[in-house]
Parts: sequence; C-alpha cells; structure tokens
Amino acid sequence: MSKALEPSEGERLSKKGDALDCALEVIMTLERRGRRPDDESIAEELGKPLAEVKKMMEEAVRQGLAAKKDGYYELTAEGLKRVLKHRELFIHDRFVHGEDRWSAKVRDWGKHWRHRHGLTKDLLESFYKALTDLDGRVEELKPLSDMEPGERGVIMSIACGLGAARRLAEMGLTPGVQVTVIRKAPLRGPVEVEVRGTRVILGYGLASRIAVKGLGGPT
Amino acid sequence: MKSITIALAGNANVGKSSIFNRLTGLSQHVGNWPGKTVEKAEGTLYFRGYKVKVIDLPGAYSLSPYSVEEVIVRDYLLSREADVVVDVVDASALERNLYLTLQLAELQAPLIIALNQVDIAEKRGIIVDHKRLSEILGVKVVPTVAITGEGLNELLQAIVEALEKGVEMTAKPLTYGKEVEERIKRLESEVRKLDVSEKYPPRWISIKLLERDPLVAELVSECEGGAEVLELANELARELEEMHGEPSPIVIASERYSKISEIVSQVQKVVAPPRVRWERVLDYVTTHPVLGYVILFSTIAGMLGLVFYFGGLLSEAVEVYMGDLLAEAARALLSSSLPVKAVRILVDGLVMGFVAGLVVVLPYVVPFYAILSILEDSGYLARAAYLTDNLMHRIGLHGKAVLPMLLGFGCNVPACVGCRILETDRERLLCGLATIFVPCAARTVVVLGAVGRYLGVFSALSIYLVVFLVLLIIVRLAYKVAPGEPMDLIMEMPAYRRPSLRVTILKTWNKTKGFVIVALPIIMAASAALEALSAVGLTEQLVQAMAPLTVGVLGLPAETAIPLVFGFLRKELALVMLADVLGTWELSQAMTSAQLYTFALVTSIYIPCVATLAALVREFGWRRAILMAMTTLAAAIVVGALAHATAIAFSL
Repeated sequence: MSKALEPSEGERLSKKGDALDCALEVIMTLERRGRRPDDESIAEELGKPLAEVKKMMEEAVRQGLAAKKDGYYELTAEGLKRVLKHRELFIHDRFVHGEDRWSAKVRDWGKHWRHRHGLTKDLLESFYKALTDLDGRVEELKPLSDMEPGERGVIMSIACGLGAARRLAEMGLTPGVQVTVIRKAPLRGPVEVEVRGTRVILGYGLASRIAVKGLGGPT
Repeated sequence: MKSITIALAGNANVGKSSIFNRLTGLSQHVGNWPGKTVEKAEGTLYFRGYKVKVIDLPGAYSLSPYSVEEVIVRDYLLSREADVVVDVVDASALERNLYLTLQLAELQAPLIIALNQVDIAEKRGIIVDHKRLSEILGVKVVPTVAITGEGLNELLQAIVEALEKGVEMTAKPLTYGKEVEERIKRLESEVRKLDVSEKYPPRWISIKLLERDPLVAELVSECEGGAEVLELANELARELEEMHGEPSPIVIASERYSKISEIVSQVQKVVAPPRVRWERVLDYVTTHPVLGYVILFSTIAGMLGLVFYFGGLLSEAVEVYMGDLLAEAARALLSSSLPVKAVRILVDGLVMGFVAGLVVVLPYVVPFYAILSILEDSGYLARAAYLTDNLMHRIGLHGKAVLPMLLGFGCNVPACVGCRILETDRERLLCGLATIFVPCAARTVVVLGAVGRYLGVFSALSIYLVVFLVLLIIVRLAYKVAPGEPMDLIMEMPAYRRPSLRVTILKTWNKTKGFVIVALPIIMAASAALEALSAVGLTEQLVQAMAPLTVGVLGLPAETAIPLVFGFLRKELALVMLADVLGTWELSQAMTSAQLYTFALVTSIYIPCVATLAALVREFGWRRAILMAMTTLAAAIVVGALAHATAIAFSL
C-alpha cells in the first residue's frame, strides 16, 4: 500500500476537493459495512442535501475516482488512492500539526514522516496499513487531547515514535483499547485518562498524536 | 543458619518499598547498582531460623531493554541470584500490574505474588479472588496490606514453606493468541538448538526476539547458528506486523493485555461504585485549574519553609554545640604532637569540613527526604506533575521536574537528590543540570548583598533574569545532545493514600545514611585541600595564577579570586570573604558597579558548592558530575566576560 502513496503531488486540496474526499470516504466506509452506496445513502451519511451530493458524485465519476453501476457507486483504483491520501493528510494535519495546514508544502511524504516526525520505516508501513484498515471515516477520528472530560473512545492509531508507542503499550494504551478522559489540565496541559482500571496522565503533545474514535459520554 | 535471598519486583506506586521497609526495618543498606546510578536497597531479616536477604528491585512496568531500571531488574532476575521473586501487585489496578507478572512468568522466575493494597481495592469495590488467580497462574498468591504490615508474615511463611518443600515455583506457561503462539512455538524449537537456551528460558528468548529486543538479539547472535535464528525471528515478526499493522512490540504488548483481560475477568469483581469520598474530593481539588495551583504553591512554599525552618534550627544547634566543641577537642588533641600547619589543615580543613557537611547538608537534606517521601507515597507528586507539565515542557523538561527545580531555590543539594523521582536517565540528567542553575538561598545572599544593596533591586532582578536565560539555553542545548529519546509525560496517576509514619522514618533514615557515606568524604576532602592551600601560603600564588581570568577576562580586582575559589566550599560565605579580601564592608568603595555586578553574576552561575557537587556525584557518578560542574563554570566565565565587555562598550 505504501508504494501507491509514496509519490506525492503535494497538491493543496481546495474546499471543494475536501468535500469530494469526504464523499469518497463515505463510499469506502459503506462498502466496508457491506452496503452498496448510492446517492441517497451517501447524502444521509454526509448530512448534505441530495442535489449537492448528486452533483459532487457526477464530478467524482467524471474525474475517474468512482464508477457508477446500476445507481450504485464503486471506488476506482484512482479513487482508493485518493481516499488514502486524504486520510494521510487528515491525520497529518489533525494529529501531528494541530489545526495548521502544512501538508501543501510537502513533496515527498515518506521522507517527511521519517525526517520531520521520526517515524521509522516499520512504523510508517504499519501506519499506512492502519489507514487502509480504518473502520469508519477518518473524519470520525480525533486526537485524544480534543476529547472532553467524561468522553469515552477507542484508540485507533498512535502516530508517535516507537519508544513512546512502546511505553504507551506497556501502560496499557494499546490500539483497540477503550479509554475515558478524566480531566484535562488548562493551557494545553496533560490529559488524564482511565484505561484498564488505572489512571494515566499523558503530556499534551503525546495525547494529540493518539487518534481516538469517540464513543460518546459515560453510560 | 540457612540463608535465602528474595527479590521484590513490581510497578511503581504499588507499595513495594513499604513492604521492603516493613520487612527489613533498620537493617538496610542503600547504595547504587554497580556501574549504574539507580538506587539499590538491600536488607536482611531473620525468620524461623532463616537469614533472609531482601533486595528491593527498581520499580518497573515492563522488562523492556529501554530503561536502565528495567534492564537492572531483568539482569538481576536472569542471574538467578534470588531464591524467590516476590511480585508486588496492586490489587486496585490488577490489569496493569499483571503486565509485569506475565513477563516474570515468561522469564520463569520462581514467583510468589503479594497481592497488595487489598484494603484500598476493597474500598473501591474491587474484589480479587486470590485463590482463583493462584490457580490460573500456578503460583502462590498472598493478600497483603503493606502500610499496616498485614499479610507479610503469611508471605514469609509461604516463601519458606515453598522452599522447604521444594515446590516448583515458576508460573504455568501461558498461551497467547493463535497467531502469536504459533510463531513463538516455531521460533522456540529453533532457539532450543542454541547454547543460550541452556542459560535462559527458550520461550522467553523467543518472545523477546519477536519483540525485536536488541539485547536478546545480541545474545543470540553470539551463539553458533544464532544468525539463522535471528533471521527467522525477523521474518516471523514481520508476518505479525503485516497481519496487525502494528510494530511487533506493540502486537506482543496487546497480546499480553488481551491475555490479562481474560484472567482479570475470571478473578476480579467490581461490586460497588467508588465511595471513597475524601479521596475523590482531594483528587478534584488538587487538580483543579485554579485551586490546584494555589495548593501547589502553598505546598511548595510550606515545604521550603519547613525545610529551612527546621534546617536552620538544626544547623545552628549542630554548629554551636558540636562544631566548636569538636574543633577545640581536635586542636587540643593534636597540637602537642603535630606541627602548626598540619593541625590547621586537619582541624580547620578536615574537622570543620565535617562540621560544615553536617551543618550545611544534613539539616536540610533530612527534612527534605522526609517530605519528599510523604509527597511521593501519598500520590501528590503526580498531581504536581500534572499541573506543571505544560510549563516545564517549555524548558525541555516535564512535569515531574517541577519539584526539584523549585527546591533548588532553597538549596541545590536536596534538589539534585530529588531528581531521582524522574523516570529515565535522560530526564534525570536534564533535570539535574537545570537544578544547579537555579539560584539557591546562598547565592541569593550574594546577589542581594553585592548588587541589590549598591545597585538597586532592578539590577538584582536582572541577575536572576540572566541566570534563567542561561538555564534555558543550557538545558535546551543539553536537550539536543543528551543521549536517549525525548519522552513526553507518560505517568501513572496513583490514588491518594495515607502515608505511613514508620515507612517515612525508615526511608528517611536509610536514604540519609546512603547520602552521608558518599557526600561527607567529598566535602571533607575539598575543605582540607583548600585549607592546605592557604596553610602553606599558596593563596598569593593562587591570586596571581587566577589574575588572567579574574582581571583579564572578567575585569574584577585580582583578590576576588579568593572568594570565587573558596566560595566553592560555602557560597553564603563568599560575600564575607569578599569583604575580607577587600578590607572593607563598603564594597562599592573597592569595586565599581560593573565589577560588583559581574562578581554576583559569576558567583550565581558557577558550580554552586562542594555539597552540591557531592550530591551530583552521588546521583550521576563522577564523570557526569564533573561534566555538569564544568558546564556551569564555562557558562559563568562566558556570561561574566560578556558582562565585562558590555560594561567596557558602554563605559559603565
């Protein structure tokens, strides 16, 4: 998978492009859930008016990102690549750089992850694997540091160096585990979470690199 | 008498050191592990005709090769020196604690589990079926409450019984998930063919190889045929990585945790929601965004106040009642048989050095050890780290470093000692370096006396500003060059507990003992050496020799060499010595404003004092201590020279 993603155009995604990416994400998610995506289900999932989605999907088909058969959509190889790129950019911008959009300046993503963010080759590969295997839309992920006290979530991926990832795992923060945010210190201070019956505090920087899928408040 | 050795292993904050102190009391020896600067505590006790040697292993969450402590624990266990390993497990955090237990089981250590803090667990409605746990793991499990000593007799009983009956004490082999287990088995059959499997458990080697443990890989590669096994291990690890999309150490960690979840679901019952009101209130208040900081500041101010109030009282008492008497007695004893100069070196140097060590160091270190022990055991330290992590991060340190740093304002000695609360070697080093730049009370005296008095408050404040700038730059630089990976804060937030008086006293006593053994000789030797220098009349030469630096680079009067050099002994005396060599207390008559400023600046930056150096040696070893001292010296000279140059440029 990494090979397909390696050569980067470093394109700056326009707002319109973003919306299109989201629609492609939805197609991939619906396919994963064993549903056949059509205009209605995409619109429902995105929460957007049907007319707008129809127009967007026409554009997607025109660009060769999706194919339409009997009213149902399917991702093309090009579309799949686009979704993965979108996920990579999303994770990069959301988890690694906070809200800033730096990705437009990056030419070679493999190099960027390795040199700028210290992801080793092994880690990078598993990162790409996690992107492909992601259950649900990437937009559903958020940094642990953005969760509110009382919120629960499942750790999906950890975008940090192997040393920190290992220590997190030893403390019980492994991918797939459920965490509850207890409290957050003011001014980007550490986040306290409950995991496997123990409480652990994590520095803000680290917490912002842990991608979590929210499960809502405590039950 | 037959003797046995037991080792205590466990996570941090599980009451391991409480058990150790309960078991061994005053018969302890606290030193460092050979070649490491990690504390090693040993003690002995007598039980039913056995002499029991107890080793308190460093707290560890895992047995990975990436932290000094964990490697020490691992190497010790592999040496098979201990007849029994007591794994101290916190019953109120069973899931996380069993992670280490599983690794001890993999290592096939002769194991007994002390299921500790069962009282706290019960209060939180967590009931652990220790009999069932014992069945599953295949090792004896004894419930204990370390704080009161409950269950410790049964623990010793169980150990002795097991040894007498010759019962197999290693845990039942646990099987992991199919994908992982298959690969372990395959690798194990190959590992069995190597020599190394006679020395270490082959299953353990196999798991470690799959985890890509570099130390075990090295062991294997040294064997005949090891290279092929390594290749196979790498291939199998890759397969796991491809399957799970995670690095293999994470895959194995997840695997252990899923096994643990399975065990926990069978042995643990949560019967009632937490109802420990006071604990929850305290937790809420001490981490509150406003109240928390108020409490933190009061705690630190109170702590400084206490340390210095009691320290001051003790210090005076020791100096008046002991120092003078001792010096007189020594003088009387020696003056008849030895030449005058020798008496001077021995009495004013060695004996007074001993007194200075007791006066300057002990009175401040003892209350500090006690308070630190209370803060640590109660769980407050973690809250302080939580509140200050953000701020400390900007310097390149993290939350836990706040306590030593702030203590540094009082005295650098306890501050250096306090650095050991940090987890990794790298963090300790950075924190130690930061603390010795924090202007202590003695340096404040110099700054106020030389600059505050003659140049005004703002000039004095500007010295602090410069010192902090230097601190920031040096620590930032060290951050780049220090070995190890920079680590964000990952720390357990322990529940609040009432610390035990007995354990606090024991800890304080034993740590003080350990400190005195290392620090006092250094202070005495340095004191004697400097006294010898003046006794044989070398001070004039010293002033001459230092002139290029003092006069040339720093632009100070040549005589200031004396307070600068002797300030190393006791910095609060630097001002007195300065007045002494200048022949006047009106410092502004003998020195220009710029000179006073430079003098105070240099005094504030270079290596605080011999006692701090001694503390550094104890905490970081000779090589690093000297390197750190030299760093401060270099920084002091550079800053002093800059100040002098600025003064010339603006003809101040």
